Amino acid sequence: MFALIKKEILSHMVSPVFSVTAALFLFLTGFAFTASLTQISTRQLPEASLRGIIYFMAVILLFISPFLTMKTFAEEKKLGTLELLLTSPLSNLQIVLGKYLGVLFLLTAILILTIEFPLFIFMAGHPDKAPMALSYLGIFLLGASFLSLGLLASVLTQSQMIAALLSFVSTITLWFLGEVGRGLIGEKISPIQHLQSFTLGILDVSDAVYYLVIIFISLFLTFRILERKR
Amino acid sequence: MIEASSLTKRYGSQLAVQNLSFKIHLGEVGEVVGLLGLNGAGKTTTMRMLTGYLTPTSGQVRVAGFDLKKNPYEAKKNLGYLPENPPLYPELTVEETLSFVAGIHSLPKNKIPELIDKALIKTGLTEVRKRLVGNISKGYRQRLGIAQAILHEPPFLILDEPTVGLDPKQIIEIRQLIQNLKGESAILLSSHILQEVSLLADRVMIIHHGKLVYDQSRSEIEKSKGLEEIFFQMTQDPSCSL
Repeated sequence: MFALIKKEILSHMVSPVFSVTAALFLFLTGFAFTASLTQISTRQLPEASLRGIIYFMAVILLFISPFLTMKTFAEEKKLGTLELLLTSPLSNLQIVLGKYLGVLFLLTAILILTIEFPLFIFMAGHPDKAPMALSYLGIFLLGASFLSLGLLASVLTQSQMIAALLSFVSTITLWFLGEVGRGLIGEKISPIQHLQSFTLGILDVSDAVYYLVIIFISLFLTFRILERKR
Repeated sequence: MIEASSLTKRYGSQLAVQNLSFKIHLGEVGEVVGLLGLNGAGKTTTMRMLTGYLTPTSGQVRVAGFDLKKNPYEAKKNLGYLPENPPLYPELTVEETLSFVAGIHSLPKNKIPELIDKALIKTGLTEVRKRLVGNISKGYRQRLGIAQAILHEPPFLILDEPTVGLDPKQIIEIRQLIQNLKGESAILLSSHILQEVSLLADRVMIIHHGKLVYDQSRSEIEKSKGLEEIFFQMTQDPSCSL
């Protein structure tokens, strides 16, 4: 399985799709971060926290995560290389996990490249460390849940375009359902609502479980679809 | 031994392969079996069932004694497979492709460089080992497909139309390569070129409309009326005879 993860990372890294996506993410979040630092009013100084920027990252992840996952299975189907994987001694579970760990690596790499945000805040003020660390954990889990939905979208089609669209539609539907059902069960459905406790520095297990459940269900369905009789 | 017993594949209401049973023996030198048939006769479907890409509607496959469904890991380790279109990633180099294949077969780390060198030499790819797969010619890609299949030195090789779409020189080279692999592995190769099969195969199977209609050794064929005539006789449809 290690060989598959390695190949996945290599394939993404050399593809212009990944570099452009990563650059877009870093540009937009960097831009927003700069803006948040310079938005100084006389009555209120900027807060020494990442809360605002983390929510902004979540919105950007909504738009870019389909581009990270769209090729995972769709391209293998199109190239015929899925036949190589499925006739190799790798099990279907290993194939799904290998692909997923590959894209998780990309997400981690992108998030690590935003490390200058907390560093700046540490240089300028005295922020609480726990909310900062947990904010990153939260945004990682949110991104990981988006990527798992993207993997599921990609296993359903040969077309990367359709995979990206399906992935976008599924994540944005979850998000909107939360807005529509606000006050009812909206807070339970929306991926963004579960981010709040993390940004406040509270580790609420139920919020972490929410993301893990999405990941589990998506990967399980991906596995079943790969497993189904051909 | 590869053992297929009453393999059947149904797509919706269409029967692609019906009740196919045969054995391919490893023996001392390994036999080369040619699988012949018209386009759409069920050759690729049969090979895909033998390699575990397709699940048969009914029937079973055993490879080297392992049931492909119950022990897929052991069964697949004994197989090398070249699909109709070589499954290659254009963004990898020739060498990276082979080390990826070595990885998914979990070959022992210390043996991998040696096995890769061996496969590159056998398939004549040594001079392009650093090139990107997306930039090499179709002939080289076909050879790389074969290198992928033989890398782990499997006792059984399944080659789906190994010479299709190549130029005459490349066809001769690939045939030579298969000749050289003879004796190391038992080979099942499909083709619709009769001369190719009569040149390479020790035994010929003909499928027609998903049924096995002929299965004889080369000496038997030579004794009777010759492959060409047998093939036309076996694949003739009574309804549309000329």
